[in-house]
Amino acid sequence: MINVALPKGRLGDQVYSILEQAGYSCPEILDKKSRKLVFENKEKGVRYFCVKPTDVGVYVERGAADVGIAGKDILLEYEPDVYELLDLGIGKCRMCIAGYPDFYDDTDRPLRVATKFPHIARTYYGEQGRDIDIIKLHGSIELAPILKLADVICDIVETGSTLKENNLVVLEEVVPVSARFIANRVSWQFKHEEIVAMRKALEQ
Amino acid sequence: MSLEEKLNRLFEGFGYQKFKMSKFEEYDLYALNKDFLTSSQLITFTDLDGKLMALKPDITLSIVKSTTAPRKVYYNEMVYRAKDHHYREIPQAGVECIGPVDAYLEAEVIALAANALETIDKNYILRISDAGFLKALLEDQQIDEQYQAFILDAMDHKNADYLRALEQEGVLNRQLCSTLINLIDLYLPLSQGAKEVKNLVRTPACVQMMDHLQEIAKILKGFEVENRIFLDFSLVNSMDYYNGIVFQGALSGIPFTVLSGGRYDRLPQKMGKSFGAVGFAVYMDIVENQRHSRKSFDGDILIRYQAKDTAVQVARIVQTLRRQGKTVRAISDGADWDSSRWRKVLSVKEAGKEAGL
Repeated sequence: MINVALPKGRLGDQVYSILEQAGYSCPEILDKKSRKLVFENKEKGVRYFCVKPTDVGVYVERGAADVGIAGKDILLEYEPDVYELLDLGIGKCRMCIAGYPDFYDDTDRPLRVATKFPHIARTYYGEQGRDIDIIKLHGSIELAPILKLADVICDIVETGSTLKENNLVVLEEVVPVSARFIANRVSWQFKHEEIVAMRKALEQ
Repeated sequence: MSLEEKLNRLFEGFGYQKFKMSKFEEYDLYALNKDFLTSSQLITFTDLDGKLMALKPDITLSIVKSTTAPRKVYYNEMVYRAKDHHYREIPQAGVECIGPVDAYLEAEVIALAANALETIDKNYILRISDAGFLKALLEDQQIDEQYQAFILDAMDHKNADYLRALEQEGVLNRQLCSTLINLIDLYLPLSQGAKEVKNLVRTPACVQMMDHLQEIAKILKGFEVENRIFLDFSLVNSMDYYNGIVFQGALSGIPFTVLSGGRYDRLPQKMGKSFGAVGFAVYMDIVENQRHSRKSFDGDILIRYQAKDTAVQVARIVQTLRRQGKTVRAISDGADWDSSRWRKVLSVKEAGKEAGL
């Protein structure tokens, strides 16, 4: 039995449909009205959990799930100690620094950065030797520059339409992001064939 | 027998001697050898004579420091380390073989590690690599030091796509990239794996390392442990510490590495001793915390006796039940005992029936 942590939401649905085609089906999961979190198909030897996207790394690192699907942003932010077996090439977006088009970096003061990803922001500016003041928020990051809470934001940009609507632009790209197939280090040893087979299924 | 006792018996069976030590050392030992510690965070205090002391974050340093002649020792001690932003007391067991280390002694320590894992759970896996292998391969291909770190990181995470990205950036040539990806995916029993690697990599230093691993695999056959030992190139942690064979152990059902070890000649050399060294540690905290299923009851039977019950009768029932192998707690009814959960809560009369009296 292989335990798979799927992120709730569109990415999870997308990955499930790939796995379904590859033979890891579990139709119950498609019932959107269901509040169930665990879906099992004994015959196919697979069990899915639907978890918050930011938690996938934790489930896999601590072995509750053998494998999982997590965005590169989550892996960079939380650095779970897992194997990163495959870039799925879906859920593509960019981690960016964004702000007003006329943003001027006053190097006389620490830069105020609002973000959901403090670790990524700190690493990015740390490499440049730029002193920053992190403002950790949990949502509506775009509001921070508007209210002058922050000078810039560090956030995921998919189409850029949210930025546009708030008169913000991408100033710098930090790192491209896509969904990754990750595995617990010990599960990889004990369920080696199962995990390699699933990776192969996802590769196609 | 507790796990600790079982391991002690195993280590003693191979002629290793118990090494017992104080809980603290002079701080200088750690300051001078901080390259050999996983973290520089220590619990320190000042001794009555003004000397700065530290609670031991590591056992190996103390053992090597005190070694003047070749020896085989084992230990079962506490170490004090930062873990999850707090200092923790962590139990650790392990062995060290310090002296003129040769292939037999390396294999013996690996076999001991395999047997230690087997003592805990029959379903174990020990993975082996050589700490110098990837470095030698990358240096042979004249890869920049800065990129070596990225490549090792990719190997550590089995991240083949990152290597492909480095190939596109021109850091790796196509052939080296495909060799490294083959190495990421390689997961074979030691002797078979080493043979396979020799088909992939022709660098003389690398071939020599694989020959050595094949020799070790042969000796491990003599110890009858070879079939649970695999070659795996994702073991790239602590490469500054180890300088040859490295290994890590895992048990089915425990999601973390529970044992790690290898050849570490640099430490004795740094301390001015002309010895080699090989050893390993078992992370007893992880084993103990993860191995057992958690209990859901304090015990089998709770007897509540009242003033009307005779104490002799209660005593008789308790003793009878206990002899039947049950855990029993008798308490006076009405008193406010600490909250606990028992499989059955009985009156004296009911308990008498249960005991068959």
